[in-house]
Amino acid sequence: MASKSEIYSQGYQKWDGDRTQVTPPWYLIGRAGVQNILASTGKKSRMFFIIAFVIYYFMLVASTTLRLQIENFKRIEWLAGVLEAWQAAQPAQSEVWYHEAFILRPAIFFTFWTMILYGSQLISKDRAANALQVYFSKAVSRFDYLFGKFFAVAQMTAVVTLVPSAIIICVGLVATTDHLEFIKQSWYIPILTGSFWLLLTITYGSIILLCSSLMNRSYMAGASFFGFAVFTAVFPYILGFIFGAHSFVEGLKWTSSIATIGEAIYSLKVNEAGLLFWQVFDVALVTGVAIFLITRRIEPVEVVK
Amino acid sequence: MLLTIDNFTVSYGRHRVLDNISLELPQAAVGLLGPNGAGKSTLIKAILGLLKPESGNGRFLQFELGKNDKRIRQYVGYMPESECLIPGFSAVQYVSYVAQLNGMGRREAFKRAHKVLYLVGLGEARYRNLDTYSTGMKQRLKLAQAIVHDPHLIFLDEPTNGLDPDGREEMLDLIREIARIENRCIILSSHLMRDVERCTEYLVIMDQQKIKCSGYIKELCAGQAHRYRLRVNRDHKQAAEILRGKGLTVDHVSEREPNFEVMLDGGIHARDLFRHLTDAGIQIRQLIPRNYTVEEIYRKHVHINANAGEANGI
Repeated sequence: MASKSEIYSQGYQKWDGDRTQVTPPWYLIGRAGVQNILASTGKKSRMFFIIAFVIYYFMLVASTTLRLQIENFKRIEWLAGVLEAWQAAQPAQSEVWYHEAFILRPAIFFTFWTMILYGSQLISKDRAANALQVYFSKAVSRFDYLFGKFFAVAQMTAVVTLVPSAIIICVGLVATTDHLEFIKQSWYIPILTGSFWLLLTITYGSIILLCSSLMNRSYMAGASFFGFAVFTAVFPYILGFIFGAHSFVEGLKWTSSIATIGEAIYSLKVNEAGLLFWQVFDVALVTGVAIFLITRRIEPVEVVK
Repeated sequence: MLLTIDNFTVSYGRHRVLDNISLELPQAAVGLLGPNGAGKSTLIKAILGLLKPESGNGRFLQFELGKNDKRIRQYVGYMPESECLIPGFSAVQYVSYVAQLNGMGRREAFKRAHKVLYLVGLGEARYRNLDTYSTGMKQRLKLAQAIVHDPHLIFLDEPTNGLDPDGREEMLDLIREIARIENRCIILSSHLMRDVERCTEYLVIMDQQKIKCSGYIKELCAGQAHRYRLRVNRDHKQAAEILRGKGLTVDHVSEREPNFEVMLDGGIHARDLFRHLTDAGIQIRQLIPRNYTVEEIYRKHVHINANAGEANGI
């Protein structure tokens, strides 16, 4: 009779493997965070997002191909008139301009709602399930845990920043008629998109992770994030009304400050240096305070209650 | 010694929770007993490196406590008392995830997770979502996640909570089996003293932020060579009176069972008991040397029940 696999053998077995960390814990935590969100998402909402992204990415492919191959498309009789009118209305822009136009605003919009719907679950679910004690009784530090959660946020924001940017560049490389010119215009775009991706991840990530660490219920965390966004949109107006207009107060408009910083990253120029300074200062301050508070909320001493 | 702690003092703010404790744990199954607030959990936290001691130092294996926390935790398993399962996983995903967090490679972690789940009796349910698990199954899963990386020291906090009698027996058997493995030390924290008595061979009793007593159970419970439990065929109260009349100390006279305890001191031997009682027509059916139970040892050292310990003459 064939013997059973060793998996089925009863009795405790020692493990003599090497105890050096093969995969960094933050990577495992970040990956598991996204997996859990996908697993807990209903089929319908998953399909909704998949379809929405297929449409978005298809539009990026189509528009990039169209603008780079416009002369060829003009040969199609019934399309020629429309394309000429469109070309006349739209002056030729640089590649980075198209990136900003196609990525920046959609990314901010998507990130905002993704954080409310999914980012809010990242720590609150662990807190509700009392799972922090499992993490911190393993070879996981507070830094690993927090960095892992940011990594999960980064994966979500990458879907609307890095992926579309990669699509535009790859399709552009294939569709362009002047490769040298295209590369000259686009070589630095991955760096800009990467910076914008980091900006979204750190700023939105810190606030949603703070909300998530404060609440045991993810919908409450989402609601508090929404409340924070509304508050930071309204409060500067009140402050401005009382104390008068000041760049510091203007910079407190959190979402619009992030958008302005994003625009500055893509355009590589500063329109109002003073305002931008205070916007960067305010966003950095809020982010710093949020990260500090999160570290207080995920105290490993909660390992034994 | 597997674990050595020297003059550890830990405080939460102004509140001192471990007061200058020193402890040496051998490679054995250890029972950690103490009332609520005695400092058991704090001691576990301090060993896991989650609390920095104000003073003192310690060593676990070749690592110095407080300096190699992550490394130490790779060699330590912890089964918490409360529910702590990460939602959204199946059992095999969960256990392998935890193993990877402790440094195992993905392939090795999955392989080991399957084995451990079979070991704890969850083999058939290993692909089920954790949300569908019963309390007993969750308890087994907690044990699986604690032992998957084959730790050298395993903290088990109330491991039999929520288990039915059969499940409880199986869990205790498992714990004993794991404790038998060479170089594997178990620290069983439980309020069920019979569990501690059954599974462990070394005892640490904590109370009021201090270690009150530690040692091998066999040694702690011994030391009563002169104390015997007697069972007689009839009228044990009369038998007790007879022995009292002969100058012997008799106590724990049972109301329902025909037995009592007698101290043999002042040069009196066991054979003298037979002689004294046979003269009165009473037969001795059982004569058992009386050792302390873990509960008696506990009551002797734990402040709140100190009087009860004194009443028991220990």
